[in-house]
Amino acid sequence: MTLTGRRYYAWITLAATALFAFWLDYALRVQLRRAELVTGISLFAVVLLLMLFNARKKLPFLPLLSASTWMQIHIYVGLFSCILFGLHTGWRTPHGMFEFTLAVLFWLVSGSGLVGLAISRWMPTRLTVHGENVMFERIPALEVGLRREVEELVLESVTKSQSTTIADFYELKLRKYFMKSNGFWYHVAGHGKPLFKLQSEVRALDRYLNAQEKEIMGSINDRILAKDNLDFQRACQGLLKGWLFVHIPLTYSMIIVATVHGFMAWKIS
Amino acid sequence: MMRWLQEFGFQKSSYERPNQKWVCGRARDGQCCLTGPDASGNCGATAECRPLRKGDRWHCSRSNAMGGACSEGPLPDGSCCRTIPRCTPNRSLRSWRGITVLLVVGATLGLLLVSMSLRRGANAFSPGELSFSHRSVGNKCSECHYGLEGRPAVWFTTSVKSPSAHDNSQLCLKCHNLSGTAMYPHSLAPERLQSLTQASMKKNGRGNPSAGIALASFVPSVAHVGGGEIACATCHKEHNGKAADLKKLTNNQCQGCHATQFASLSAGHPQFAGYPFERRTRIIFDHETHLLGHFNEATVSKMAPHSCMDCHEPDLRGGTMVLKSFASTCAACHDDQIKAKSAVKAGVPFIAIPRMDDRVLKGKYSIGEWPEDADQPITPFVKFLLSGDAELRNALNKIKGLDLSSLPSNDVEKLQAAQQVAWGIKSLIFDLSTLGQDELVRRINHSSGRTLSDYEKEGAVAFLNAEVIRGAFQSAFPNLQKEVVDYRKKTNAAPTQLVSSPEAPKAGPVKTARPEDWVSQGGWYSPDASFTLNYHPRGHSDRFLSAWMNLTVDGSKAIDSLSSEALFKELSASKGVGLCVKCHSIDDSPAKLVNWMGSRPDPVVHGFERFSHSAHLSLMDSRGCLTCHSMSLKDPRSKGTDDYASTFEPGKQDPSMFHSNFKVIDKNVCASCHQSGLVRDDCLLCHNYHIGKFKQIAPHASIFGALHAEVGKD
Repeated sequence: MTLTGRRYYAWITLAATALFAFWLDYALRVQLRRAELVTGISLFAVVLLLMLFNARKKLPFLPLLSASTWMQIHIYVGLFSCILFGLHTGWRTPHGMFEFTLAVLFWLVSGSGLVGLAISRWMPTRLTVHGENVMFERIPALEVGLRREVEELVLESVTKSQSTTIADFYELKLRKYFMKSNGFWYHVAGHGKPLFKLQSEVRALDRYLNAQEKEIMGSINDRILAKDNLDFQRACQGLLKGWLFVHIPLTYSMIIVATVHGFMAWKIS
Repeated sequence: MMRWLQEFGFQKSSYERPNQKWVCGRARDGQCCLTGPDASGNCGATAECRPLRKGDRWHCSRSNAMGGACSEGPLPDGSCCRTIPRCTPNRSLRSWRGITVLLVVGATLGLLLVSMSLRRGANAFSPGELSFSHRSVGNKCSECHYGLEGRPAVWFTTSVKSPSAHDNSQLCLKCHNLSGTAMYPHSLAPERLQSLTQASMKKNGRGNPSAGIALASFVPSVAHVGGGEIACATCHKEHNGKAADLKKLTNNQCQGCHATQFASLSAGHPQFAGYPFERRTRIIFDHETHLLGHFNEATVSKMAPHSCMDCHEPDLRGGTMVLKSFASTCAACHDDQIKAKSAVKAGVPFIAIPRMDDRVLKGKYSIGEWPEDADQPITPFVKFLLSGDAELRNALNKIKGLDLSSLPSNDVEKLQAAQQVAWGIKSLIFDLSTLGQDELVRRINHSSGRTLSDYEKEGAVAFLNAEVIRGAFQSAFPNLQKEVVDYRKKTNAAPTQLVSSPEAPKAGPVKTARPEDWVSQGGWYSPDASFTLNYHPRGHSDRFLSAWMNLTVDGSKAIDSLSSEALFKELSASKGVGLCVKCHSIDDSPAKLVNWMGSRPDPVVHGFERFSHSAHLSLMDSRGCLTCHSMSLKDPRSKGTDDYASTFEPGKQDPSMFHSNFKVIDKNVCASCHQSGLVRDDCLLCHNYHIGKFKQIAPHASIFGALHAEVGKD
């Protein structure tokens, strides 16, 4: 089955399940049965199912479907959990401090999950088409390598041309550019402003360079482009990895608070 | 052109392990060693190779990835000459994520434990602010929830068994008195509800439910599970803020349990049956004859009301239209009528001396001194008061219907009875004149078979005083004290002796009012030379008449029900004293009583329907109250068998059998406004859920306990 076909059936299943949940909740409420108990237990079970995805990742040797299948299940069940949560709370903000905290945790977990879903759907394509793909862990080392190469080119320009034009420009503009990562949000948004601004200055410098310097400056410009790609890779891959710093810890927190909430509900009902 | 940074090849690419906890400290500089840190985060770097010994020489074994064998070669002792400087390994991104998880989990557990341990921690775990009605509960969870005493941490350690919603409902009922069947649907006993359901099904069928109800019908309703009891929290959802409406329910939720279902008031709601009048009026007032007849008479028209509001007004809650007072409604026409016929001329004879046959009542039947001119029958009051004594009761029964002034000389039994009655009357007068009002109350209690309340005593005694009694009977029985004392000793019954009436005083220059005129505004009096004690009612709302009618309306508890009924019959005669029963109807069910007041809502009674007249008074058109209350006029061909007045004919005392002056309210009158898009048409606008008689109780308060505590403090 093709990817589109799988998604089609997944959406159909999600819609049917959601419709069933809406109907059951409505019918239970009309008949004055304990709808919140049914949706609450279901929601807790669904969240535990979602957590199994993380456990599955830690146990890659078990023949329990592929990770991508688990990921798809995680996405659609996660979306269903948002509907269940809405039904459970009656689509309103809880009043009590404890339950409000639980709701905020759920919103943060599900919100970060949706952000993660969007990022994981959007970023890989951009990363592929932007330039050289690098491993996130290698980026610092590659940045250091680039900086050394540029510094060597700057020294070469001084030696060959007996001029400090490029060296002065390096000190003034390029050192900072190569020392740290630049324009995180510009890269996430797909905006080329930091690079465009620097290259404008490089072009403005061009009229003060002789032929040798121009050749060296061309090489430096290649590295400016490479650094921009590294910044882009760091920003986008950082985001791809960073959202899990919100999603996973808060999931555990939510499970703990939800367990206490369940106990309270059982105790007072 | 972008500089390409990576070269890929088995000797060119380093092997990254992002899933391990630690990474080399020099990885940031691109000088990561191949050994890497161990699992505990210790640097594993030693040298770039471990030289190999071949024969007696050491050879460099550095990998090609690191540049192959070095030119310097191993040291003479076989160690590598190129040692790698040790680094401080860094945590991997994955490891930091794990630490974040631990920190967040720790913080969550810590916050929870702190919150649970605090004295006021329950506030944090409250699912929301209580409604305005329950604000007095505060943050005392255990007031409404079993097992939630003390700090939240204790909740986890108390009873493992969770209380059910039904258990918690018992705590609600500590303050909300909703009878013993509170938790059954509508607070009605199952048998009663079943009969109502069957009646509805018989009359209305299953109805035509809306799509919303039909959709929910696949799930059994709460009333059909768990033994039919419904916990309070099923409908009343708390912790939704101060302004939350605890009674909020949708129409579908109401109808989920109902056998007959329909879409709305305008679509499918059954036509009203017998609403609003479920019984005849308590005050007999024929609207038809008054509005179409009496009020048009020339003598009355000036006093006639101009609108319904002249006689009716909303009660304090605005729900029911109640009658205004007699003074502001009926008095204008009927006050004089009552006074004119309420014994102004003769009063109500309370004690009267009958003529006794002195020819035969002598010797062993002697009755002592007896007024020669006495000629009144024994009053029902006297018969009632004497009936408390068994002998006198028998005696009264024996002389029933006899002419006491002409007794059969040879009927010993009747002569004895007449003698007993004569002495009974004298004893009664003697006791009242010597022992006072308490004796009268004692005799009433004894005869009626119950103990009068203070209010009833005041009415029945009506300020009777000794002087009046003595004045009335002094001339009739000059030696009453001696005679009665001797008679009671059974030693000597004074011989019969007729006492002549004293001469009437001659009229003087000053005009003196006759006794009956003297008490024109009510009171006790004795007409000249009549040997009777009469009571003159003071007009409408006379306490004496109402007290005695209340006392005798139900003779079942009286020692002698016949004398009680006879007295009531006398007082309630259609042309009797005060004409009370001309307007005040008498019911025999559910209890025998005289309706002294018009219908007034009982604040503790909760019926199925409710209606606010106040909310509708400004909405009527030019027809006024007739906008909704259409008159049901008498059919001229019926010959008076189905009109309003026929309901109150003598002997008809069943309040549920009646003909109203007004037609049943047409449902469409309500539905013309109360429909979707116009005015609310939800079930709870017009219907109560809890049905029954619910006395209000003070929550959390025992006055006696509090008082004792206060006294204890002092």
